[in-house]
Amino acid sequence: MKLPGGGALVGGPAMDEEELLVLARRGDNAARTELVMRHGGRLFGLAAALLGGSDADVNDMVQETFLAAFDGGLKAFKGNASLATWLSGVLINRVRKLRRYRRSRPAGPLDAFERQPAAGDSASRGPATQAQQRIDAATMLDSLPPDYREVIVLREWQQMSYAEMASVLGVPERTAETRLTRARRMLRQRFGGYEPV
Amino acid sequence: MVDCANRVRLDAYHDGELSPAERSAVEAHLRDCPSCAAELAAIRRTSGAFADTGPREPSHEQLLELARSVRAEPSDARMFLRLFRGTAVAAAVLLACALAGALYLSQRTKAAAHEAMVLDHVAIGSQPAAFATDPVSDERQAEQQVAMAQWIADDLRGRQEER
Repeated sequence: MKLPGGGALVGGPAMDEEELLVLARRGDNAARTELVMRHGGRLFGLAAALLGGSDADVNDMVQETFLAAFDGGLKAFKGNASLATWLSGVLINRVRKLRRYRRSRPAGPLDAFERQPAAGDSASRGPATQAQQRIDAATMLDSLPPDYREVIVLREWQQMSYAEMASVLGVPERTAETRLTRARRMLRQRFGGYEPV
Repeated sequence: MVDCANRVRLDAYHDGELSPAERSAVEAHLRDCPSCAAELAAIRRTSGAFADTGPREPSHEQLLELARSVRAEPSDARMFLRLFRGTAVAAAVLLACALAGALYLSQRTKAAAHEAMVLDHVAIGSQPAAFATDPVSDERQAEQQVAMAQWIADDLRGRQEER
């Protein structure tokens, strides 16, 4: 694979991610690109789901997350959690900061879900049904307070375990579980009649 | 809301987060508790609403653009910048030291010159060279000298009268 700037991919998929991060922090652009290609898509989706805002905000959050991991003062990654989990935590902290900064502004619509089909949609579903379901999911997420929105996204779309959610959110495992239970209950109360098509 | 008084971890059961023993206990409870069984079905429906959809994924081009945006500065440029920053800091320190030294010396020279001028003026009563060309200062000096002479004369007269 040809990388921007003419570099080559560092190592294969099996290359230790901690080692890649060390190289990336030393300024190795091939390692940086490799990490972006491995984790950028997932982080992009996470930012889009949490922010429900413009593409510009989503891009900024993901870019800031990688820059903080590569150039910033973030040296906390020790390999106890996976790099994916750690990067998700960094991104969530940045999203929270942005949200605090814009607290006075209401969250916008989840246009990221409405404009393009999600990858991996079932081929058996018609386009109209897929779009309807995305809008339903977006509407449901939009109805939740930020803490509950986070746990739903992390569990349902990032497929994180309770332990990973706790690590990313910086809370005890039972707190993550309680939030998830309450978030689902809140969705059931608000969208009780909803049935996936 | 579930009507069952038992605090059964139905979400954890649904998410596969329970140990085998806990799982068996929940399954046993579900067989005898229609309320919890209905609650579990509702949890599955809610979770299912997200199952076949997901957040938008970026295109390959977007990822490449992202990778470009987080590239490190070229190593040569970084070396140059580091060197430049180091040199700039050293130069700033040297300049600050030189300025401080120059200021100190200048003040010392001025003080010494002033002291010499005053001593010269008091001891000899002559006009300091620095003021020689200033007519205003000349007048002031003359007035001061006259006043001083008057005061000395008065003082001497007073002392003689005391004797």
